[in-house]
Amino acid sequence: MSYSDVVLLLTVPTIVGLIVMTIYGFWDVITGKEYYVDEEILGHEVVE
Amino acid sequence: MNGVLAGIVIYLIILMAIGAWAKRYTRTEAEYFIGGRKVHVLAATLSDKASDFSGWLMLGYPGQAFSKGLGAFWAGIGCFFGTLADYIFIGPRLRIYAGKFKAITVPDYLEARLRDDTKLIRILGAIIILVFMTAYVSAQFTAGGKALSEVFKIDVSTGIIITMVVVLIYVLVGGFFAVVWTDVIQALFMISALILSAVIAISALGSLENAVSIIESVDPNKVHPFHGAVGLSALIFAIGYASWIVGYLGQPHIITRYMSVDDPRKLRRPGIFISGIWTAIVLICAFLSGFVGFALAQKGLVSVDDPEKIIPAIAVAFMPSWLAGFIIAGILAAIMSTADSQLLVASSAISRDLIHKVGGVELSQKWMVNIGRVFVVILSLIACYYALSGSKLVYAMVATAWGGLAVGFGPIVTLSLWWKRVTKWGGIVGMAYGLISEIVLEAVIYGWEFNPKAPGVFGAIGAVLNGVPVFFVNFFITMFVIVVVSLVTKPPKDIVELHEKLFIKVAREKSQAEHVSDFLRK
Repeated sequence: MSYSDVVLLLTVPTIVGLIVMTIYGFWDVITGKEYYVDEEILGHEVVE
Repeated sequence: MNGVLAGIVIYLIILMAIGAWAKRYTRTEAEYFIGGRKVHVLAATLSDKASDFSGWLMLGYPGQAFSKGLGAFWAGIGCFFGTLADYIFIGPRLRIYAGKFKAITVPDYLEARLRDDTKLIRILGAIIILVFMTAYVSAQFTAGGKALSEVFKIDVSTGIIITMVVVLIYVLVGGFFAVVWTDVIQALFMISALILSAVIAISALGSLENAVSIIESVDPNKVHPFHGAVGLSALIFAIGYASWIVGYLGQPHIITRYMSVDDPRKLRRPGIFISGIWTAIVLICAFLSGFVGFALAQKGLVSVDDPEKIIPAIAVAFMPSWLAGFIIAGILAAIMSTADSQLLVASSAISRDLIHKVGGVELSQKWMVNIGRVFVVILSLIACYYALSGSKLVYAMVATAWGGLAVGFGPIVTLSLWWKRVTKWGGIVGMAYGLISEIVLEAVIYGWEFNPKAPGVFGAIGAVLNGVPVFFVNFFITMFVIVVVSLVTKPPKDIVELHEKLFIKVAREKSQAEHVSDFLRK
């Protein structure tokens, strides 16, 4: 029982986290929408 | 010993070489403090994690796993979900605003976002950073000194000075680019060292199941998910550890990495995957090293006088000296990768926020960078002095630092990114309340968590919330204060409109890979 407690506590939150990560990571693909980004928002510093 | 020395010397030479290479990217304040907002996503995201995890990951956390057992993993859960929360709630929106406002520091962003013409937000932000970050840097120098002293049997003070000199050189020369790219190397050292340590610890006992049996026979609470607690006590135990989640939302040395990345969309993908997977692996391996290390100690396979030294003890007991040197380099990497980021953020608080923006000193970009460098040196010396003197005030500030930064910045940064209605007075009152209340509640009244020993009414409150970290409750109180003050004041109309316009979503552009795939399908 204790060994399974250890394995469960280590794996369940990790799997939940991976699912959250995957949904968030591909949310733009799922919805087909993303934040608008242009050169002004990118704001790359250009040094002459 | 020669193998250990050779490993560490090679590691330090790599750091110096990166510092020298990065010098070419220190021409302006924006380059020196934020990499010109064009840092590669791999570097920004690994630097985020290397800056986040200090010596705590390699020493403190395995030590907790050794002493407390399975329950300590809740801290890992808190850190893992805190990392994800940073990407979901802070990263992309903060980067969009940083580009729009050309913000270099977090106070830069807040002043522009809340249209604060009083400069109070910038001053408060700089004070919060200076008070807590300088103490934080001194704690990293102390940890580095102790690690070097342990390995080379040198004086701790000498170890502190060596740590400071190494960090100082590459931060001074190479600025933000040196910090993020050395952080990448350091993140790779940390993950390799932890995987190696966990695998060797488990292999020494045959399997994890054997380790659990040994631990359970000594203390059954060590294999209980809540350290033997049930009901409300179990909940408070888990919250006590997992409360780190909210702390992530306000750490300037972490969230500055999001402001530096070359494209906000990359924080969603691949950013969250790089950080999230790296974090999950290091937290599980660091936990297993400490947890299984306890079983190794019970079997007499390692000798440990301090639980926090379990990873060096495993390295010395089971590895050849050159590989043990690699593990020690991993510990130094964790310490230095946090110290360098904190040092640069603290320096930017003085040179960019106070001297340049509040003081109105306008010099050439070259001179502004040099002023930044001067304050990197001054703050390093102050932090080194604190580390060498072992001042009690500094210990109190270090213990308060995580909570102070979390409460000082977390609520206002989060609300300003997600609520158009937040106002400058909400920000000013909230940040002032956060700064003062954290110092009073954590450094003077309670310490890290609520407890009934506090005087008067605070003792009664402490009895109710016994065991819950102070900053966790104070984070939500500060958020409430900001909301109330914002509701009784009014934000400028154009700022509200900008907020609405900036986060309107548009149809997604397909990636090159998707275009190729569409073409092939046709």
